[in-house]
Amino acid sequence: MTVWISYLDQILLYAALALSLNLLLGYAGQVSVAHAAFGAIGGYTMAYTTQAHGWNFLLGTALGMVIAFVIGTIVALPALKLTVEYLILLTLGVSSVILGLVVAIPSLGGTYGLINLPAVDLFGWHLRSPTDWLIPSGVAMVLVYAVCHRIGESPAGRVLKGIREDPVATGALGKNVFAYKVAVFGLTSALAAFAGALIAGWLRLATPGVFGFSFSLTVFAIVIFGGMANLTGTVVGAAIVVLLEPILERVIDLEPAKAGYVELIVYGLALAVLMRLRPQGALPEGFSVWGLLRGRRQSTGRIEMVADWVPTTVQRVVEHDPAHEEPTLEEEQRREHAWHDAPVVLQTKGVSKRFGGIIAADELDIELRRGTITALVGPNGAGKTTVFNLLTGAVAPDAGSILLHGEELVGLQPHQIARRGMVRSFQDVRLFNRLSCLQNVMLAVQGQPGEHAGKLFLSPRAVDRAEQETRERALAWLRFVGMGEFAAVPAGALSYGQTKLVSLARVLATEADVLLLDEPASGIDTKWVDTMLDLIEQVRDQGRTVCVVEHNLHVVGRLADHTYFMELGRITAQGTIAELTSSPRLAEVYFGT
Amino acid sequence: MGKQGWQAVHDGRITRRRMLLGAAGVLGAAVLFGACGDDDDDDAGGSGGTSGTSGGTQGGGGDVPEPDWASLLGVDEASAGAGKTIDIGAVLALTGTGSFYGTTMSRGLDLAKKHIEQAGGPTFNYIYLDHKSGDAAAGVQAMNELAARGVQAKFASYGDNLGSMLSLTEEHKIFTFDGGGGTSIPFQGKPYFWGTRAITPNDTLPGLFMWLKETYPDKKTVGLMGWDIGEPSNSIVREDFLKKIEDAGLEFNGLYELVPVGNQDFSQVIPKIKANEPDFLLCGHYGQDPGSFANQASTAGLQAIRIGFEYTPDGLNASRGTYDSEGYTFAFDYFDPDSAVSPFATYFVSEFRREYGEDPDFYAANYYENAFDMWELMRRIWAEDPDAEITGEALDAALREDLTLPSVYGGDESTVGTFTLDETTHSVVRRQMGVFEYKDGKVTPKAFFNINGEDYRTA
Amino acid sequence: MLALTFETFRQLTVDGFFRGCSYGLLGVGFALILGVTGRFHFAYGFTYTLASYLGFTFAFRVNWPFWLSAALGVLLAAVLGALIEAGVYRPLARNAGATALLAVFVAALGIGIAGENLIRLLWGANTQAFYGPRKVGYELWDAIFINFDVWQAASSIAIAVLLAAMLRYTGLGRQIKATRINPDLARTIGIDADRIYVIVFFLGTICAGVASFWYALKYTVDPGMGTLPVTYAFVVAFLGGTTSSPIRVFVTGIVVALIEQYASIWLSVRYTQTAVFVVLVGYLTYLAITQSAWYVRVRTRTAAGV
Repeated sequence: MTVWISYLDQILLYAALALSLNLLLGYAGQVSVAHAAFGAIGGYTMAYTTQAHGWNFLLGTALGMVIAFVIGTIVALPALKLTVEYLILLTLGVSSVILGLVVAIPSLGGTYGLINLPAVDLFGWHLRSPTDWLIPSGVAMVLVYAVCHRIGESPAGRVLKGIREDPVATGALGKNVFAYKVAVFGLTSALAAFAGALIAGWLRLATPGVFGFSFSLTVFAIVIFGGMANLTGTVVGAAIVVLLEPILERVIDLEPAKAGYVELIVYGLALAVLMRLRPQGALPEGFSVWGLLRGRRQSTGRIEMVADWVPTTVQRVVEHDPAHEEPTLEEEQRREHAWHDAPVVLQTKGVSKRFGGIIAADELDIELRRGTITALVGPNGAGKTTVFNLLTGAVAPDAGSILLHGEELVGLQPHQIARRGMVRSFQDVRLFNRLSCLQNVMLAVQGQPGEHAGKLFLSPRAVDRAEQETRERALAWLRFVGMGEFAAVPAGALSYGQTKLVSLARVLATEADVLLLDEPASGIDTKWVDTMLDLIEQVRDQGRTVCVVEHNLHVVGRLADHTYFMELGRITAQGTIAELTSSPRLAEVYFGT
Repeated sequence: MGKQGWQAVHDGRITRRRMLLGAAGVLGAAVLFGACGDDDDDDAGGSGGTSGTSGGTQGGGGDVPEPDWASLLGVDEASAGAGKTIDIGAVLALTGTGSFYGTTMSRGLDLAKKHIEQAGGPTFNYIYLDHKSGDAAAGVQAMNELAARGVQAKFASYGDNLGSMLSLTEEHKIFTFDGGGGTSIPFQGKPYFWGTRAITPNDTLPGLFMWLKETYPDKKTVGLMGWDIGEPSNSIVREDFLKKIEDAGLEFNGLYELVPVGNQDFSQVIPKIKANEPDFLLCGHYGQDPGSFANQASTAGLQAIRIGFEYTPDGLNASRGTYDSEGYTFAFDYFDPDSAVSPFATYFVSEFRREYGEDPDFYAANYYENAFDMWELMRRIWAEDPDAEITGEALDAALREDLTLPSVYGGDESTVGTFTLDETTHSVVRRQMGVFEYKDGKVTPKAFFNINGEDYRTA
Repeated sequence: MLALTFETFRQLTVDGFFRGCSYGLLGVGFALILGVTGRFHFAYGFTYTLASYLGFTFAFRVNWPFWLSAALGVLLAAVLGALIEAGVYRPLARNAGATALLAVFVAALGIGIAGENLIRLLWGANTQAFYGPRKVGYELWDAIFINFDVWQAASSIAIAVLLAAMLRYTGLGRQIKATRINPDLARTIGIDADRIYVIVFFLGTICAGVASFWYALKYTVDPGMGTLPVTYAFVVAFLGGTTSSPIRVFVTGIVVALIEQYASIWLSVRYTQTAVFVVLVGYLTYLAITQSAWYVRVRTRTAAGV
């Protein structure tokens, strides 16, 4: 039945187009409705070069891919700063503009497009019948699948997923979000052009109708329907979308016109109903038949709350000294002296920042010293989190300098600062909810070769080895904070206290010299607090530099070697907690008595 | 939450669900109630307008006797092909924006099938396939299906589905008549593909200009507003248009505005027309667009005499009464049931009225005659060899033997009208066209002529 | 380029204004829905189309009075909009969690496709005309328009103003705004967010229905008439801001329409729609640039004299 072979060709070609959209949308979370328009670039370039200039099919396709890549990266630039809704609007606009241009350029055939293209010629093999197309479309789909799979399931894909979940947190872990977004837009646009050229070759025409907006929506539906970040699901989705009509045609026995409408009604309702029943798509993220056969437990779409279970730390570097619980005055003084003796790792000089009329930071001179814990305290609105934002480059200071190991940080992007050895945790935790705890921590490990596309494809074995190492190191950090049992659990299923521990593991996994912890012990109850404080002390004892923002003076008292007191963006006092709390003015500011 | 609280929530949810279902029920009933009173496929224009037919007497058809096919069309029993069954594809717009026309086309085909059998011909087994009003992939699938079934001939529309089926038509040698879109300019000379409609507006211009000069001797300037059909077609049309104006001794005033296909809002074009208003404004757009334009042009007070090149129920409805109140002049190969004179045509009209209760439109007429033309070609093949297999190649060769085919257009009381194709362009070179005016529910022919203005006569 | 006469300019402006009122109303309805519920209600086009078809059917098949039929058509379409939210989007969103936005988008798409073809099946696929009061032409400062234009503009402006007033001054409006800002928080202070969502869908679809009715009265109805209006609704809603006052969104609609009309001065009509999107892309690019860290850094450095 050659008719079904023709439908099979269509499924393979549609899947080839949809797979690259899944990489962009499902993995990287970039919502684009312009995918068919990039297909149009490939289709039209191939059509024009082969028909008007007698080019080889592959050469024409390659040119189309290059053009699409360039345009895709250009589109990515404004897309970087836009929220989802605006991105949809932007891609809608881009799609219209591309199609409008294609119609306007005279040599591209106007409204009718380029028709009657010669049969695709692959080195003498002319593809005419559906059977001829079977192998080439199959090969094309497998190629696109392989590329998308290699990227999506690699460390680079993990970064893309991080960008999908929380671009700010991903950047704070040292990943160049900008570069990734531009790269993924460019790459998927090129892949779309590849599929588009094949579709045009199969249809033997390139028209605005073929690559119109409704086709973009169909491809979009295939990706969501099949399952985001699940490439097999996309192929399944394509099969369902293509086969629904011919199957219905043979099942419904009405006159042709009515049958056509009923088929479309069923198709539309099927989309709605299937989304209602399975919003995560036919095959959810992480699900693979392969993995199922191997017995690996998969994280499901439905997140169930895990029991509130307090972990115990397994590793200890230094024995826990009860004297640390409630430090005496002498203890505090000793720590203060030790702080002054330790070498300076991070130093700010005169850092200032205004937001309109509000002074967020005013001539800050802060020192963080190696192997110590420095605390920042102050009432709400004092500017403590702003300090972290300034230090990590999330906000640019109006004046002043920030020196890390003597190197100026002002002007650098957050990911660059993170790579130079200073990372932060967030007040609102910001774990990647749909990733497992292990994946969350693995993302933080620095220097993964698999994050670079070149190495990913050219030295696969080295990348796989490094990935294994990364996994082991990440697991070790998870165990360190006592969350080793939760490695495969999606972060969204954890309780608040558990997320704070994983967040700490994530920050530790960067192995950065300087750790800025934003309210690590806030919002969790006492049994967790002790665990957390234990860990932070161990981290300090391992020789790292820690800075903690905290409200809880008890916590500060136990942890801090040196404390800065901030008010309205200025440091008004520093020293030990005892010194600060003994000052009546500060007590009044802080406690309002 | 205590048990009571749960119950309240539960009840609330039940109540809400009931309300939901209730509301859905009411709405569903309203929709069905409203739609049920409606005849599907009717182009109902509402009480203020008129129905889209050309206003001839409805009902009371069937009073024209069946013609003597042997003498009328030269049907010979030996070569008629009685008892044979032939698969013929019909790739039409069954869904989508053009599906209304897919329906009228299929009516023409179905009626022809019946009559052909009656006349001693073969049974045409139509394979209706949907190109979804111009969807390329659907067209390709349709062709693949026809090829898989070994179909040798088909009726197409939209210019072999906007050209998307042409390469497969050639590939699989499926002989094709297109009485809907014709060849237009981009699709001429394609193997196995023959368009049986005149190319508008260009083919009509010589005859049209003759009538315009006769009727409005003081007016000279001509301008055009038409569909943007892309290059190189736009340039070809424009060149031809300018030449024909010159040949007719009229004057092009410089107005040449292209609008997107399907454009309904003319608020941007009308100021441009007003700025350079010609005596005659030729409106080269189709479907409902000319109706919308007439409506808006009338409101805007455009003085130019507007000439359209298509008349359909869509357009009539879109004109919102302007066609009726001001009249609508159009020129193309329009089928006017009341002007039908040949025995072939009158029988067609009367039988169509009987079968479907309304007058046939020109699409129904085109596809009716195309089916008969297909049969004529088959008879030519069987005349040589009564057992010959009908293949696409054979049909094509049979056509080239004599490019003139029977038509429901033209002719006179005793002879059947014909149209003639060109062996190179595969377009028509002879086909009756005319200038007509629609007003107040009635179409009146004004003049008849052929391509290039030959055989001109006022009605 | 068209020789720009004042008359032409006035005509284009007047046309743009009336068109803009329609775009504005569509944008207001869509912005309300998207801003408050976050649903990508692609099926907006379907409810738009159904309003006119229902009105037309009541007036001419069932022969009820004209204005009553029209109102009923709009109301029933609004009920449908609310039903879609309550029956499809809400349970879907609850089920979907993080992927709700996109899942709702696809479901809306499906409903839109099914709905359009249901209309084709029940009413026929061709264009039909909706006759009502007589068309009367007016001329003001050399620009021509008709009575339908005036009524359309008046009702559109009235609805936008009423909605803005409702949001600002009434209790319901405060509830809607609260839900818009943070539905979970709104729930904790006793606002039934689910009910608010349904109300918002009802109100938003009223906007679509009214816009549809005036379009049908001036032009024609066909099953696919909802596709382009949805696109414009979307564009206007975003440019105006989905959390802005309806007045602002409405004015944005007028601006978009004027851009489209004025573009025809320089461009052929076949390009003016593309021109709108070019402006849109340009504007979004501008927004992105001014928000980028790089730009802020440059501005700060310049301001600080560094």
